[in-house]
Amino acid sequence: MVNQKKILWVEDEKDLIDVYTEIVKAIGGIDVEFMQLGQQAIDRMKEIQDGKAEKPDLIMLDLLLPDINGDKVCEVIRKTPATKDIKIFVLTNYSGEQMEQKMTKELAAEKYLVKTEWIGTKLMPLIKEALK
Amino acid sequence: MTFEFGIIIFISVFIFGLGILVYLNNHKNRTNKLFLATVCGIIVWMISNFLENGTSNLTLASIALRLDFFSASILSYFWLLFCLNFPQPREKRPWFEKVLVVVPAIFFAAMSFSDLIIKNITVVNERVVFDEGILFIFYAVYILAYMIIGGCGYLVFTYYKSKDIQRTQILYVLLGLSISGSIAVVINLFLQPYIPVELFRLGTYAVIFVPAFTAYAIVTKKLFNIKIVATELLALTLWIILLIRTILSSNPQDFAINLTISICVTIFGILLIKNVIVEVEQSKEIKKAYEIEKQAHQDLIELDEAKTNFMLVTQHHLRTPLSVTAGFMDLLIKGNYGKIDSNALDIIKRSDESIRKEIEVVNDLLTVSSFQLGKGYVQFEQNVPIKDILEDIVKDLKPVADNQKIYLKFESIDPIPNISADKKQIRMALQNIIDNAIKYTKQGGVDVKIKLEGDKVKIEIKDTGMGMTPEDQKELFKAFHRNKESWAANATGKGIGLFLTDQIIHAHSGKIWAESEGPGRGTIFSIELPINADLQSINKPLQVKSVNANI
Repeated sequence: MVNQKKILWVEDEKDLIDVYTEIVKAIGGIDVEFMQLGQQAIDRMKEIQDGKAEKPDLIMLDLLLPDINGDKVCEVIRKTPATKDIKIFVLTNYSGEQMEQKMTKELAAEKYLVKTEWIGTKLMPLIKEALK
Repeated sequence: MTFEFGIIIFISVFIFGLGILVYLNNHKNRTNKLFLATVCGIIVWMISNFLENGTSNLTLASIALRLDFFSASILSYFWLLFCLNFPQPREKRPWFEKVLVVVPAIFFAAMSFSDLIIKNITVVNERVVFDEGILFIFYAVYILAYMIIGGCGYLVFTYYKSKDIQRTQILYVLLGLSISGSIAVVINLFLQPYIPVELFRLGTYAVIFVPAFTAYAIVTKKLFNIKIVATELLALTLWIILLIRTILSSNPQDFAINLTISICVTIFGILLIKNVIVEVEQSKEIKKAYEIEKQAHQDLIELDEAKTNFMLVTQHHLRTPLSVTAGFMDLLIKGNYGKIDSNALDIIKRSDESIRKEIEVVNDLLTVSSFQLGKGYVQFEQNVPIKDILEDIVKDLKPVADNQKIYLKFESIDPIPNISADKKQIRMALQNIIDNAIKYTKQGGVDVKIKLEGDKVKIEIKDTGMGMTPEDQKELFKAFHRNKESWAANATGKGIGLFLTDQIIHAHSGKIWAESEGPGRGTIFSIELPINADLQSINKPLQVKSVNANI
């Protein structure tokens, strides 16, 4: 279990959490934790900074969240010294050139994925590759 | 005596002039009328105050002294009313309030001529001496209450309540009051023993600053600007000095020269003041324009944010159920939930296909609406190999053409330079046109040509397909436009492709048009793209030119 990779998945939609849980299960050997609020993710970054929580290998980040939007969460991740280098995949339903530029260029998200394009098992190779 | 009287006459004429000036400025205004009344009160008070001393004539001294008390009483009343109505006249007050204010004023004014306030008037060494009457203390309280507590106190109160110009106007009056008050206190309390007898009442004459500042506040109504005030003071000082020089001229020749200089300096001073006012006002205008511009910019940013939020929420609501359903379908098909009966799997696959088509429809609709909101942007890149892109698209679509048993040819006529363009968008635009040409061609085929024309690249897509009527050519690039034949030929088209293509080409400062000799006679789509489009249109939003909204 020492080598088990860790994903922090920020996603508020219950059904999509079920879909993504299945995908992670199919890949195997991944410890995934879902968070449904932006604030939870921000709090977690603080805990990682304080050494109270483990740093994930990959963060999957939705943009439209019930409280704080994903771009703001991403800003916090990048500003926190202990988390600033974590690999981030934006997985959202919003496709907009400006937002994509912001997330990938300004906030250094590794990938900007639109959910309706990256359906189900299509995500698997991407995740596997990211966790190598 | 004569010198002092000269000063008094000068001050009286000066402030009376100010009173008249203010009155003429707007003679219907109650504040202005009250100012004139107050000024008259000051003049009578000052003259009587002067006349009561420096004479051994008891009758004159006692009349002047009583007039002094009388005018002070009336002056207090007018001053209070003025302060209550400055800078704007108040609404009409109820009669009992008026009576309450006017009765003490009339009473004490009348009592000034009885022995109840002052009595036993005598003259000792040309100075008037008297005993206090029974009402003296009440008279003193009345003056204090009306002048200082009522008048000045109310001004301070309104100062804190008002803003902008009105606040500055009150500030001027308070400034005048402070200056004359300070001079009076310093001279009367500390310097009295040291100054010559002729300047004995210098403190009293300092009252001139109150009407001077007040008149300035009423007439100019300008916001305090140190530049303007300094210029005006400078000009005024010069005028006074030159005027005195002119009056004191020793001979007619001297007088003529001084008078000429005075007139010239006066004209010059007026021009200077006007210039400074214009300059100050211009800089105010510039500042205002800058503020407006800043606000407009802020509004644009907010509008842009609102549009992003709108798109974010719309896309979320439209796509979330689709990504959930498609996600589950995919997991079912891939066997993540265990083996499924082949009949059921077939149904699931058909549903999956249907969902994916729906996703495409939603994607297209969202792209159109984001363009309509001005949220579709072109991000220019240098050195985009337009020829390679075109060749690549042709290669990609070749199987589709083969499938339809039509040809698809590509030809590059000149050596084509790389251009500046949004790679992703331009690819989408060109692919749309070629895809369309293949879709609507049942026999023959499609020729794609690229050539250089001056500083532009021209792309021609010529098909032998169904062609179009002149009417269709006009409507072709509008959103959701499809002609009757295209409905019949291909039921899945949504009439969005050409609209988006048109938007993209225009954002690249390019041109797109279609030519057809008529139905059944093929179509030629021509696209012109400047080589350096980024110089003409840097990251500009795609603007919708015309939208046909009959969805």
